[in-house]
Amino acid sequence: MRHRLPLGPLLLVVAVLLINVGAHRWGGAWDLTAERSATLSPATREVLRALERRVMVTAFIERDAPGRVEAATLLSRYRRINRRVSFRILDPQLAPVELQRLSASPGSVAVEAVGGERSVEVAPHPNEIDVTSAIARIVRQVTSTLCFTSGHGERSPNDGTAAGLSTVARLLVENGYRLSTVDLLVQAAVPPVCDAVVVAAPTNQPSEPVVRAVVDHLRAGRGALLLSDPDAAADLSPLAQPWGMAFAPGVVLEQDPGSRLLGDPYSPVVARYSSGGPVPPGLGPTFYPRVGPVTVEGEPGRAGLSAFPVAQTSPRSTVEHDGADAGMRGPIVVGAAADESEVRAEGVRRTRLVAWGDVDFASNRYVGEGANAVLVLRAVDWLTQPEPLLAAAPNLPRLRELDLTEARRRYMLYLTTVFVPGLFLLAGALTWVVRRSR
Amino acid sequence: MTRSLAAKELKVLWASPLPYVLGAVFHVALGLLGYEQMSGRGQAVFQPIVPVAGFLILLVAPVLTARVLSEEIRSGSLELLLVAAAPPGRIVAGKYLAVVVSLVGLVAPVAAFAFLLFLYGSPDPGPVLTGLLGLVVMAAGLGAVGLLASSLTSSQPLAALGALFSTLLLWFAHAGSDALDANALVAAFSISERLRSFAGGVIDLSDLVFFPSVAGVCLAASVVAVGARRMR
Repeated sequence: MRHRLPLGPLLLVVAVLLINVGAHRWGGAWDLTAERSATLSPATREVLRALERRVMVTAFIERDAPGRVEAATLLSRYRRINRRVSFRILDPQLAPVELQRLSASPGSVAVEAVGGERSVEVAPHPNEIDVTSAIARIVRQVTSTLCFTSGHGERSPNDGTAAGLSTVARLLVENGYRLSTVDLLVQAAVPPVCDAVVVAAPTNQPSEPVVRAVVDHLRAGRGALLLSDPDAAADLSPLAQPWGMAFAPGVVLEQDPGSRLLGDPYSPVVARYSSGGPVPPGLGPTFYPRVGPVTVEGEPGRAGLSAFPVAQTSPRSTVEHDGADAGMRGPIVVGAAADESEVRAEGVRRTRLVAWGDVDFASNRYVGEGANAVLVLRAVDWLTQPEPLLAAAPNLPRLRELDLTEARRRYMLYLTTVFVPGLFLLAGALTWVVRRSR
Repeated sequence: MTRSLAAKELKVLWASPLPYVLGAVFHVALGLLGYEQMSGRGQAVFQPIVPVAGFLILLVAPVLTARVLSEEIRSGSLELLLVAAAPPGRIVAGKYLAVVVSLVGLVAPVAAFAFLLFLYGSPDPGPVLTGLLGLVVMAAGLGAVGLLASSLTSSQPLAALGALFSTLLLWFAHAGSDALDANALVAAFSISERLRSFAGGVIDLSDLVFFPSVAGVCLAASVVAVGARRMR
């Protein structure tokens, strides 16, 4: 007897394959979430299509924290579009080493290029805009240049002593920044290649041409990190005042024993941050060995400009100036930021400044303390961030809480673990009884 | 004929203690794990329940389906059916119908979690519906895998183990894809990733087509396997 080929089943297999390939390539998807939170915008799809390197996206969200499930759903959509995207969600409390290695903070998302040159970008929030922007920076290999000013006794990124900034410099290079030094005694202007300048506690007062050079650099739509030293004679206020901020004289005296280090009132530990701006959500405490106050104008008086406090000491802190009480009462602002956007014909021009009343927190000696290193990195990220890559509104899922009392928890437990399985056993027992009775 | 075969199979299947015990074990495990998820998060979200239920279905389906054809092969009643001119396609379709109905009956009480969410909160109904739909289509797909394994051997344990091994491979296919640096081809077979899409509130046409496709291919192979017995 001649065996016939099972033609029908073979045709079915071929048809099934064709249908699947067709559905994968041309099939649509229906997002049934209330906020359309699982739908990726065309801009995100474009960025993902351009992604040719493998990236590992790591979201640091606590196990039972709100948003963890939604983050998994969102990131799985990224992976569906480009398989080079892998993702994981780690509890920051259980993975502190990864958190530190990726210079991330709880609640943020690190995007790490795998293979080839190492590159890490951190998205402050697990939402589409931030994550796509981080991936886009890797795709486009945007390398920002950070220029440290010199010539007025500033702290140097090449200085390996305790007061130097070589550790921060190394961290910045590891995070994809190009570093340069610009001597404004020699150069009349900040070179256009500098995306942001770092003015790290000059000991001599910057002259008028130097101030003009930095202000012009900022007015061209770039950034500046101003680190002051309360013990230095130089005042950086002329650099910050056009954007509604200033450095006040004096040093913060922390009177709250729980908010200072080792009982030293001149060493406040700051854990009060404003959301948004350069500080990522969930940033741990930062430590400052002598920090001066920063003042922020309530109404900077210019359209498109906003200046806002970023880090504050405890309500019990005061300011001491020349050995006497300066009359300022806590919370004292020790870090502030300004953001000015102007819409022009060629696009949006954005100027960003971060002003901090201390430089030592970023020095080789102290940058490893608390979350100091993360703060410096995120501040620089914020300063050099390209224009938002996505104009889409953040389609974040609404937080939906479950109203659980102890009694309700018990009911839930009994219903799911006792009642439902019990029904199966009861049905089984009844069947057995009926069968035996026949 | 298909319907009468399905009805007979359902009667045989549910006359044994197997589906009741499986159902009870399935729901105790799901209850404990699901309770921990809901109680710990304190959020009205159905998403975390879906992969847990999905994995439990993956463990239960091979056991439930193992006897469906292998028992008939062992006892010789399959040959009798074939001699009575029952087409292999009809036999397989009838058995499959019974398997799907049984699996859906087993899984249906997962909706108790959705009930609790709506009782104590206001969950997004979209992901609840898509999650339940995902579980049903996955159960239908895994039922066919189990049926295929059962059609290939007269040994029930072997059929269960074969189906379990195959479905576990499919569940973890995406992990293999990462490790091997293979492209999307391997990961396209990942059940867990397909299910995650449903759990997230998205009905992707490729996911919707995937599980019936798995079922279609497995059923076709089962028809061939059963048909081959008639030729002997």
